[in-house]
Amino acid sequence: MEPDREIVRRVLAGERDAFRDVVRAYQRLVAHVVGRLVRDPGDREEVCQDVFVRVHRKLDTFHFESKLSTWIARIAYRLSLNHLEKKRLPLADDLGPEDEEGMPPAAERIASPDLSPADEVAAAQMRAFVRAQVDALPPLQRAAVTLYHLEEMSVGEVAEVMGVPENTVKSHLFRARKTLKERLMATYGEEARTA
Amino acid sequence: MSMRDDDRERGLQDLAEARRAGTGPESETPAERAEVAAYGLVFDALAEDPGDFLPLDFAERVVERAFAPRLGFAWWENVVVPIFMLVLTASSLPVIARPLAEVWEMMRPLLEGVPLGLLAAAGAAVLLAGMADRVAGGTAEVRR
Repeated sequence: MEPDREIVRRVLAGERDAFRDVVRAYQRLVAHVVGRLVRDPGDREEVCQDVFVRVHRKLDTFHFESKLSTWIARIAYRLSLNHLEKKRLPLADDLGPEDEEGMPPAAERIASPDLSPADEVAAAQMRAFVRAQVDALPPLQRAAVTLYHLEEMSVGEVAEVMGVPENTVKSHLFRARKTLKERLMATYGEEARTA
Repeated sequence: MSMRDDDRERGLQDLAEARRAGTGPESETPAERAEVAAYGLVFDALAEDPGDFLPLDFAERVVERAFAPRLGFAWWENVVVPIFMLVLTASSLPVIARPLAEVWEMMRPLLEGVPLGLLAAAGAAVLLAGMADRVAGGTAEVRR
């Protein structure tokens, strides 16, 4: 892909093709951020469009203090939160009591490099279960795990996108992973014992 | 959950992350190994692409929308012209005041019994509604 400065220069010069390239290059990132925060499928595409329209209008205020991807992710994050606020959805709700039971030897087994076909299926099921559980996390935790694990941003970059201190990002990551692990163990622990 | 439990969980998460990077030591107990493995699964799932929900022509649609002409507030039409008309009317009042007064005196017998206050209020309401509509319409933005 073109370096950020060159593509930004071309978009600011009014080149439609350049802006189309920007959209294509970052639509996956924007879809991930918006998709994890905005639950209503009918609203997701609209919010994604709003993100890029905002990018187009505000690009002259981007001064390369961060990567272009970080700047775009920040807009996607802010617009998604605005959307949730408009819909009066909670941003940092508690998850309530957590299950404490279960130890999954199965998880340990399927984490090994030598998997049987049955283990492969079990692993895929467990990963699907975890992904479904991500949707039940509070929005700020969803955003943090998406940017860190899926977009492979550093904690510093995630903090920049979310506009919070790094320790807050670490706390969101910690709580999200712990919740997901406990739910995984609570659901698959018993099955694993009898396997 | 106590601080100590949280510290233990943090340790397990760090260990799982290090193991994924190929740098972590082996866990000591079976229970710990199971938990680190569970965290490994969680990390794998979080890194999996959830799939794209955007349509194939998404970029095209965004470009169309971004480059659509934007209608700003029509200052000339909504502000400058009305102010000009107001000033023109006010400045012509001394000239037309006398003929108007004569017309009013001629009309007065015909207007007896007509609720002039009500008519004036209705007229003002229509005028205000029209102005509000213009202002709202003037700031509308072209979308899609």
